[in-house]
Amino acid sequence: MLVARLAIWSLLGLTTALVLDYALYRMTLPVSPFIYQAF
Amino acid sequence: MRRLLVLDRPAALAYLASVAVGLVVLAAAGQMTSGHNLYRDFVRFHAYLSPQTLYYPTASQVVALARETGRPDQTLVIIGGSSIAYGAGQGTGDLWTRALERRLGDRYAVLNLAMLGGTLQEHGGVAAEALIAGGRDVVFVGQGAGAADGRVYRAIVWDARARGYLLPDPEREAALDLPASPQLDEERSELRIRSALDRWLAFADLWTAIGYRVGFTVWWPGIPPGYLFAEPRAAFSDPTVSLPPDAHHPPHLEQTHRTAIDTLLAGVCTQGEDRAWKPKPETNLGIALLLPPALRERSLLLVMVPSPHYRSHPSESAQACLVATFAQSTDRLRAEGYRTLLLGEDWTEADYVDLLHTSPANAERMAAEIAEAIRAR
Repeated sequence: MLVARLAIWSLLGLTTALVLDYALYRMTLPVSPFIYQAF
Repeated sequence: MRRLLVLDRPAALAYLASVAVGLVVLAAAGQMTSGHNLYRDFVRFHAYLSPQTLYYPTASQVVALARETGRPDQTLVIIGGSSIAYGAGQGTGDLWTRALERRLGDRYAVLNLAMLGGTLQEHGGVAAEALIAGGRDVVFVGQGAGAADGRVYRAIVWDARARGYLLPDPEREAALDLPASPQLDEERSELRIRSALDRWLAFADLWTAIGYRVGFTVWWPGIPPGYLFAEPRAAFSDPTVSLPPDAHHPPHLEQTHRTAIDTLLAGVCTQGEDRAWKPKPETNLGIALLLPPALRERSLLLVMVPSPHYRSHPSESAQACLVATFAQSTDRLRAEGYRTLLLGEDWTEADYVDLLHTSPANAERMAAEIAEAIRAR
C-alpha cells in the first residue's frame, strides 16, 4: 500500500513538473504587440 | 482507492522530490536539444518558422544551426536583418541568397537568418557574434537597424545575452541599462527574467524542439488549409512565392509609398535659389546602428534606394538629390567603421516588387553586387 501510494504521488509529481515546465514556456512566450504591425 | 491518495509525510516527500527530479530531467532534455542543429534543409526562417506564427527559434538553436552550416574551412556569410535581406517577394527557387552562394563558390557558405520585420542585432547578429567568438571566419551581411537589443524580436538578443553568446560590448550594455519608454522598460524587465530562468531550465529549447519535430502545442492564427495547428513545423514548407510582374507595386500601397517618398524628400533635400534640389546640410536618414566593434569590422551593411516607381517628383534634380542622400548615409556609416554597399542606385522599376524589396528577376543582380563586395574585403 505504501509503495503504491508513493508511486502514485511520484507520478503526480512528475506530471506537475511537466505542467510547470510547459507553463513556463507558454507564459513567457515573448509575444510582442508589434509583431503583426511589422508586416 | 482513497487510501492511495492520502497525502502523508512520505507521500508529500515523494511528490516534492519527483517534481524536482522532473524539472531537472526536463531541463537536461532542453539543454541537450540546444546543442544540436534542429533544422533540416534550412533555407530561411519563413512564416511557419517565425514568431509570426508563434514559433520562436531560440538563441541556442540559431547558433547551433550556424555552427553546422558549411565547413570549418569556409567563410560563413551570415545574412541578417529585415525583409529586404530575407528576400520578401522571392520564392525559394528565386532567392537571392541562393544565387549569392552559387556566385561566391566553394570558399564560402551562406546562411540566411533574416526575418520579416527583423533587425541586424537579432537572429543574424546573434549567430554572427557567437561564431566570431568561437573563431570562425564570418562575414555579416544585412540591412535593418534597431535598438541595442533589436526591435520586434528582441527576445532572442536577451536569450543570447543570458547564455553568453554575445561579444563583449560595454556600449551595448550601457544602452540596455538606460531607461526607455515605460512599455519597453517593462518588456526588457520581463525578458531579463525569462532569459535568466530559461538559461537554467531550457524550457524554450525543449518545447520549441518538440514543436518543430513532434507537434506544435500553441494554437496560432493563419493556419493554411489542409493543416492542423498541432502539426510539427518541420512539415511546413516555405509559403513565400515569387511575385509575378503584374503583382509588383500593388495599387493599394501606391499612395502610401508615394507620400512616404515625398515626405522623405522634403526632409532630406531643399530647393536652392536656382530651383535645383540639394541635400540639406548634415542630412541623416536616421540609420543609427549599434554593433560591437568585432562584428562591425566583419559586416557589410546594405543600404537600399527606394524603387523609382514611387519617386514621383517631376524634377530630375529632386530625384538625384534623394538618391544622393542614401549615398551620404552610407558614407556616414563608413566613417563609423562599417563597410557599406548602396543598392538600387541605378536599378529600374522592374527590379523591385514594391518600395524596397527586390524582384525575383533581379535577385541574381543583387547577389552579384553583394558577392563582389564580399570578395573585395
